[in-house]
Amino acid sequence: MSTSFFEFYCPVKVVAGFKALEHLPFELRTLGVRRPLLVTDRGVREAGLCAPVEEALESAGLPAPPIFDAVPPDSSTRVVAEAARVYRERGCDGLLAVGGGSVIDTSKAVNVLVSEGGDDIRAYSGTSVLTGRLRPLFVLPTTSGTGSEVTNVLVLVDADAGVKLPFVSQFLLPDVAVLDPRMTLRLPPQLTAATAMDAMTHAIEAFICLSKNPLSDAYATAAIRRIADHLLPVLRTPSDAQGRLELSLAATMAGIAFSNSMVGLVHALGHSVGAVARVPHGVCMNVLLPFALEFNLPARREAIGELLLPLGGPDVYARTPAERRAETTIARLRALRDELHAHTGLPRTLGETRQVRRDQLPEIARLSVDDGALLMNPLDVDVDQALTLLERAF
Amino acid sequence: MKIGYGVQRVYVATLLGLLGELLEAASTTDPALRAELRGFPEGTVIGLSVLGGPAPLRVRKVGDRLVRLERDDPAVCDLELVFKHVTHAFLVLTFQEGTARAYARSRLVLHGDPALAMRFVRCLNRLEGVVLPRFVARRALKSLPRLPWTEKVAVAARVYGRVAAQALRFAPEGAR
Ligand SMILES: [Fe+2]
Repeated sequence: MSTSFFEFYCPVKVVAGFKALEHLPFELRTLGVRRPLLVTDRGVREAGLCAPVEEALESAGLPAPPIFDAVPPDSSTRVVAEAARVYRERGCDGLLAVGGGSVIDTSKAVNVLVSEGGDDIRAYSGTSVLTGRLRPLFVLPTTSGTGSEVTNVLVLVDADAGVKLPFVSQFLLPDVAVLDPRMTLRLPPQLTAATAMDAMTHAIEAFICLSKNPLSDAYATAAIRRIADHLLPVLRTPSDAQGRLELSLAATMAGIAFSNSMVGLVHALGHSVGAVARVPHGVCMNVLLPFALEFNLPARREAIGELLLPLGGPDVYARTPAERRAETTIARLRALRDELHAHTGLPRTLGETRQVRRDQLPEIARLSVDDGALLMNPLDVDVDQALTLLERAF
Repeated sequence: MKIGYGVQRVYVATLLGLLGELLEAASTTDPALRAELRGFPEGTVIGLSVLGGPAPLRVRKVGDRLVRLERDDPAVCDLELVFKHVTHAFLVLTFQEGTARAYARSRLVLHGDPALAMRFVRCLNRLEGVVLPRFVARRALKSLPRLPWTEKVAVAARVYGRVAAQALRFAPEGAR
């Protein structure tokens, strides 16, 4: 008998599609929440994305929610403490995140403080530190990438030490994720492309890393197919609401996949590039993905080859001999990146980001080998190998 | 032949003790391990335990080496690897399942800082790579170490290898 074993957990209620937003009042009532703190950032608010949420709540007889809109792109322990203070002052009884990864992670962290107590979120960092269920958390993503609405992780910057603090716990999983195409309709082209490639990377890494399992595989391949089918059409026709929804679903599915089987080398390197050179996460993923796949090829030829089916479609898959499928998968990803670069200017190399200097690569390599994401990578990676890979991606 | 939980418990207790000895010895003699340890904050306490199992193994970083803690030492772990059941600890400590593989299969939970966990897992991998015959190591590890090993550790390693090998003889067929 095989010795394989896996676990799979996703208790998040996904509420998705046409007029999804108007389901929110019902979902709040179901979990007994009357006064959620709406957490967002100024960009989202100025883009007019909070107004429809407020209207949907008020029209259903709920009071206007207090709003905290001071979340920066890289949220920190200080921001979390500040938002928790507002939550307590205003007597809130749940959280409503409207935004991208940083807003969602901030909301998860605020939820830890207001549920477990205290003002210093650092006390809860690390894996499996939380001890019980948190307050209800509702998430409305305004990007289609991080998958944070269905993951058990969050990352914050320690405002004093300047380092990133990871938190992992099943209690960080939100209660409800609302996917409404209106929330992502005006996402700018390059951000649409970068966040979609983050989701693509989540799905691919979930599919090739050590924790892969039959259930996460199903979510991962479904996510890849949606991104392959809809990303370029959405960039050509940004008002394509159905295509936008498909990308949101893809990000959520990829999130479910990697929350259950974790990510690998692309993320280990990408976290470090982000930390050292402040390159946005989705851009890092897009840049590093093919190079890291080539590195993992000797250990994962078959799995990478299987990805040609969702990525290239049945005709391409059937036409390609089995022994060429892995290389063809990587070639198709490169071709997709070229198109994204042509449409939106999304960088394909570390050099093209114009944010990374060659002399920063050794430091990035050193940080990468201590990144927890490497634990589930199919191959071990030492500092020299990481550096060679980074040089290649420069 | 099926090996009962009671026997597994005894083996796990023995192997945890030997692993502690091995870590302590290696931290004074193996250059690769010592280099890794330099990245640990002074006084870091790391634990390896089994839910409902025998007494946990705890080591503390003192200077540039690892020292085992007494059973009644009140120190709190900065990083703790907890196996969910004695049978999972048995699989890992007899190298039927590597540490990364076991984590991928949720056999254990990590309490603490993931970066510290990465470093400690590298220490364990280093040990396994040296202790084990290559054909076993190949199954337990993603890659094999390149450096030779020093004599003092080799003695402890042989002891460990012998106990682990004996445990394996009783391991269920399907798990081998
Ligand atoms: Fe990501």
